Amino acid sequence: MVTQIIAGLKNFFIFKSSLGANEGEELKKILYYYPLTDNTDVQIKNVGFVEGIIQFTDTFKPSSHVNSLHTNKTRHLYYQPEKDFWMVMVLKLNRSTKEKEISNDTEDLEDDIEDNVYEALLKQAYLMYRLFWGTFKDAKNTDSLKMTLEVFYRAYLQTIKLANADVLNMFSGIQYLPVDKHCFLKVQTFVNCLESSYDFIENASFLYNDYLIWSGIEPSDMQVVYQYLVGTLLPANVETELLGGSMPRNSTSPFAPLRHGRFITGPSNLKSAKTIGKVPKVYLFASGKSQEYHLVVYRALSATVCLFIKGDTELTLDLFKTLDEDLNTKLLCIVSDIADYCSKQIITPNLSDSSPRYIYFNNVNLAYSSNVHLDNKQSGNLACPKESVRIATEMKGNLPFLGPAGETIVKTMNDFWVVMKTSNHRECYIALQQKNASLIGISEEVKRLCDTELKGIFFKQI
Amino acid sequence: MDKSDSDTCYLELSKDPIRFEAVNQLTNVFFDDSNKDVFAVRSGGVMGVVVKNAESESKYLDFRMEDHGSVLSIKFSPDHKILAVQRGTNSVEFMNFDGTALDTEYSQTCKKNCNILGFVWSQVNEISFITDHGIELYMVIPDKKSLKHLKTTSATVQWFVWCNSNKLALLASHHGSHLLPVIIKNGTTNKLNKVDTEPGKMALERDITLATLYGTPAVLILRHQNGPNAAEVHVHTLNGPGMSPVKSHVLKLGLTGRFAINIEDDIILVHHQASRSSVIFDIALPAENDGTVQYHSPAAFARSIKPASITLPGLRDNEIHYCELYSPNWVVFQPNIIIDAKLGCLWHIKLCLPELCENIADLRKCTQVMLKRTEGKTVLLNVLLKYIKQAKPKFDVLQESFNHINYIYRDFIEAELQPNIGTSPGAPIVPKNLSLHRVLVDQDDMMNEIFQKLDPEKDLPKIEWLSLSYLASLSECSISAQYNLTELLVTCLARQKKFTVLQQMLQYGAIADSKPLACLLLSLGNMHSGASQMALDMLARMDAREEIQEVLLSDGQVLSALKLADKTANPRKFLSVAEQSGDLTLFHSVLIHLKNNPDFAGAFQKDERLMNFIQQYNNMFDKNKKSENTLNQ
Repeated sequence: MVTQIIAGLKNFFIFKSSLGANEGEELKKILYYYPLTDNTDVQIKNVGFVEGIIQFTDTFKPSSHVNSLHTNKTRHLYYQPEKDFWMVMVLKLNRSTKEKEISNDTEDLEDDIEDNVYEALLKQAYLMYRLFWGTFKDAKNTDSLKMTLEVFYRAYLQTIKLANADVLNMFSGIQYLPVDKHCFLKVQTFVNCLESSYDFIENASFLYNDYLIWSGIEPSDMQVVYQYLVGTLLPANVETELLGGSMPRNSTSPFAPLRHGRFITGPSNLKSAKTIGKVPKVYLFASGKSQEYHLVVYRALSATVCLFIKGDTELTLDLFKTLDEDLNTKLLCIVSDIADYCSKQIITPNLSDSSPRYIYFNNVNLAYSSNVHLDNKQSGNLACPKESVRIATEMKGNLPFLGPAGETIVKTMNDFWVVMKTSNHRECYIALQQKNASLIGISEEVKRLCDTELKGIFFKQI
Repeated sequence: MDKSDSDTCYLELSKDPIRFEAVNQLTNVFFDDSNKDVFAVRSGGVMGVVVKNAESESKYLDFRMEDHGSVLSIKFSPDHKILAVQRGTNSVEFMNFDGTALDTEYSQTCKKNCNILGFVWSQVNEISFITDHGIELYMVIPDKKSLKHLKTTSATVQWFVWCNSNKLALLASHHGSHLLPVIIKNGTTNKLNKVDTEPGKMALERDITLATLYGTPAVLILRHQNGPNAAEVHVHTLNGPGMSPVKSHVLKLGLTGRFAINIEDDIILVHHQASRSSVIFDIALPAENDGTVQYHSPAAFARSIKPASITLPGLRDNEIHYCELYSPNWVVFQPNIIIDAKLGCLWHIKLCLPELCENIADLRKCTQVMLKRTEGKTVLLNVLLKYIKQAKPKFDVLQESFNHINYIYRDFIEAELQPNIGTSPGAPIVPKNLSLHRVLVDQDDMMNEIFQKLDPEKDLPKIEWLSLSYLASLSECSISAQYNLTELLVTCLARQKKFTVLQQMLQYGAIADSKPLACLLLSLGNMHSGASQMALDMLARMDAREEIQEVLLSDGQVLSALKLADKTANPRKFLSVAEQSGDLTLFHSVLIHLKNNPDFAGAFQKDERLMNFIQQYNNMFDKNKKSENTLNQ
C-alpha cells in the first residue's frame, strides 16, 4: 500500500488577473500571499506560474477552468470565486517512509488525496471571508481589500485543519437537533414573537448546544454562519464559561436574580458596560444580492439565539437591555423544555466496533448526521478506518454520474463494505464490516438499516 | 355621568322594565322570587290584586281578595293554582285559583308555640313553613281544601333565606353566626353541614345571597371588615362531600359601605351604593390561592350601570324619566332582578359583553371571561379580531388566549369521543363540566371569523405568525390541525418565498401530512426544489406508492418508479415514459423487465397497446442492427 500525507500548507494566495497586466507590474495582481516569508520575486513567480497554467488549460476546455494541478511534491488547488479573482492553495505532500522504494508508482498516489475535499476547503475559506467582509469586488478599493484579506486570512489559515479534512468538508452541513413538534413549535413561536415585536430583527436562528433547531435564513447562508458559530464563536465562549465556574462570581448580591443569559457578541456585562462592545457585521447572499446585518448572539444555558439585525439599525445599550429582559425570561422556559425532551430521548448509542457506520446528508436543507465522526471538531477521531471515509469521498465525487437516484457498493481489502445510496436529493454513505458477506447480503443489510434509521422520508424504498 | 363614560358601561337594565303600581298608602307590593311574581295588593286585596310575572310579560293576573288583615307575604304555588297568604305569625291561608277568581279560603296553623317566619312552595302541592322552631312540611290537597302534615324538622331559626332553583333554605340562628343549609325536596328535608364561618361572626339576612355558580349551589356572605379594611364576599360552594359547604372563594371588593349582589351568567355583580358603581367577579378565573381559598380581584374596572329611562304618561306628551341608579329604593333579588318599589319598575340586569371586554385590559383574561359566557362566542371572536388587526399584536399573548380556547376545544373533542369508548349500558352519561363549555371556538370558527377576515395581500406576515401561533396552541392541546389551516399556512409561506421555514416545519412534523398537502407541495416544486422532496417524503410516510410512482415518472425517473411498482401497476405508463426519454438502453431494460415478469406477462398478451411497444422495440433494434451491419460491411 502506498500512502501519501499532507505535510502542510505551502502557499495560499489570492490574485486578480485583470490587474497589473503590464510587465513589471505583476506584484499589483497579488491581493494576499502566504507565507510572508516568501520574497516578492518568489511571490511573482508562483502567481505567474499559476496564471500561466490557468490560461494554458483554458485553451483546451474554455467551458470550465482548471481545478487542480498534481505534482510529485505538491498539490495545487485553484478556485475562482468571482470573475478575475483566483484563490490558490498549494499543499506540501510527504510520502510515508516505507513506500520510498516504489516511489515511481505515481498512479496509486493519485487517489490518496481527494482534490474535491480541498477544493471544498478553499471554497469555505472564501465563503467565510465573504460572510464578514462581503464580496471581493464590492470592496472599496484594492488597498482596503488587501488590508481586510490580510487581517482575515492571517487568523483564518491558522484554524484550517488540513490533515483531517474529509467528506464532511464537502458537505459543510448543518446538524439539526431532532426534537418533537412541541419543542419545535415553541422555538418557532419564540422566534416569531421576536421578529414581530422588534422591527429591526430581520431573522433569527436558534441553536441548542451545537445543534440547530431553527434557522430563519436560507440554508446556503446558514451553513457558513453555522460553521462560524460551531467552529469558532461558541467553542471560545464555552471555554470562558467553564473558566468562570458553574456559578457566576461577579454577582453583586446573592439575592439578585440569577441571570443565565448573556450576549456573546455585544456588551458582555450589561450592568457595567459603557459601550455596546463588538458586534460583527455579516453579509448574506441567499436573496441574490448582498445584504448586511449585525450578528447579535445571545446565549442562555445551552441555547444560542442568533439575531440578524438590519444593517442600518443603530445599536444602543438600551436596545440590548430590552432584548436581554425579553430573551432571558422566555428562553429559560424553552431551554428547560428542550432539555427535558432530550434527556428522555437519550438512547445509549450502539457503538460496538462492528455496528454499521453512516454519514447522511440532505442537499435541500444541508442537514448531515454521522456516527463516523466521534466529535465535530475535525480532530480525526473516526469510528471506522480512514480509508472507508476516503472511499466515501471518492464516491461523492462520482455522484454527478449517477443521476437522481442510484447506489454504489465497494468492498475493501480488509473486508469493509462501503455503500453509497442517493435518492430524492439525499446521500447516505454506509460502512459495514462483514467477513465473507455477499453483495446481496450487504444490500439486504443496507436496506434494513435504512428502514430503521431513515424512517419518515422517501429514501428507503429505492 | 358623562357620555364617553357611559359608552364603556358593561351593565345595563332591561329596556322594557315590568311596570307595576308603585307603593303608596293603599297599595302594598310583594315580590315572590321563586315564581318571579310581583303582587300589587290594593287595600288588602279588596280593591284588587294585580300579579305580573317578571319572566313573561304576558302572564298577567288580576283578581280580588277579601281583606282579612294586612298581608305579610303572598305567594302562588308554582302552577299558579293555589294562592297562599300569610297574615299572622301562626297561620297561612290558602285559596284555590282558577285563573280569574279565588275560591273560599282554607287555613293551616303551625305547631303550637311556633311563629311562622315565612313559607316557601317547595313543589307544586308542597309547602314549607319556616318557623322559629324549624321547618314544617305540608302537602296541599286543593280538592279537599285541606293540608296534610308530612314532616317536621326542628332547628332554631331567627331568619332564613330561600333559593328556589336549588330548593335550598339557609336557616340562621345565633344572630346569623350559625348558618344551616337545608334541602327541601320531594316531601323530605335534608340538613346539610353547617356553613363554616368564623366563630361568633354574625351576619344579617341582607348580607346573604344564595346562588348557583357554574351549576353548583353557593352561599355568598358579605363580610364587612372592622376598621379601614375593605369588605369581602365569602363564597361557600356546596360541593364538599354530601354537598357540605366549602369556603372556596373570597372576593375582594376594595370598598366599604352598602352593597347588593346579583348573579348574571355566573358572573357575580356587586353593586356599591356610595360610589354608584358595580364590579364583577368570575370565580372561574385563576386567582391568588392559599391552597383552599382563591382570592379574587374584580375581573373588570368598576363601572356604573348604564343610564336607564322610562316613559311616563304626561299631560300632553309622554315624558321621559331618567331613573335614579343605585337608588335607596332599590331592592335586589336573585339572580338578576332589581326592583324600584317607589317607581314601580322591575328590571333584569344584563351584561353587555362587548363593553365588558373593553373594560378588561388583558386579552388573556378577557378570553377566559368570554369563554364562560353564554353569548360570548361572537364577542370573543370580535375581540380577538380587533386585537389582531392592531398594528403590532403580541403573539405570545395571543397564543395564551388560543390555549384557553383550545383547552375547551380539546375537552369538547374528548367528550364527543367518550360515548364511543364504551361505557356500561346502565351507567349514566355524566356531562361532566359540559355546562362550563359555553363557548366552543373550533378551527372552522377561527378560519371563518379570524383568518379570512384578514387581508391576504397586506397582512401576509401577520397571517403567517397568527396561524402559526394557533397551530402551536393546537399542538399544545394535542389537537390535530385541519387541512384548511395547514393549507393557509403553507400558501402563506410559499407566497413569501419562505421555503426554509416550510422545510423546517415539515422536517419537525409541525405540519400534519395529508395527500392534498403533498399535492400542494408538488405544485410548489417549480418555485423551490426542496418542495418536491418534502412532497415525496410526505407521500412515503403515507405509503402512497401510486402517487410516488407518478411523481417519479413525471420526473423521468423510470427505474426508480419501476422499483416501487407492484403487480397492479400499469406497464404502459413506464414504457411510454421510457420511450419518450429517447434512451434506448432504458427502453430496452424496462420492456424486458416487464415482459419477463410473470405479473405482467399476461397483460402483454391481452393489451393491444402493449404490443405496439414491442413492435416499436423491434423496429428500433432492427434498425440499429441494420446500421451496424452496414457499418460492418
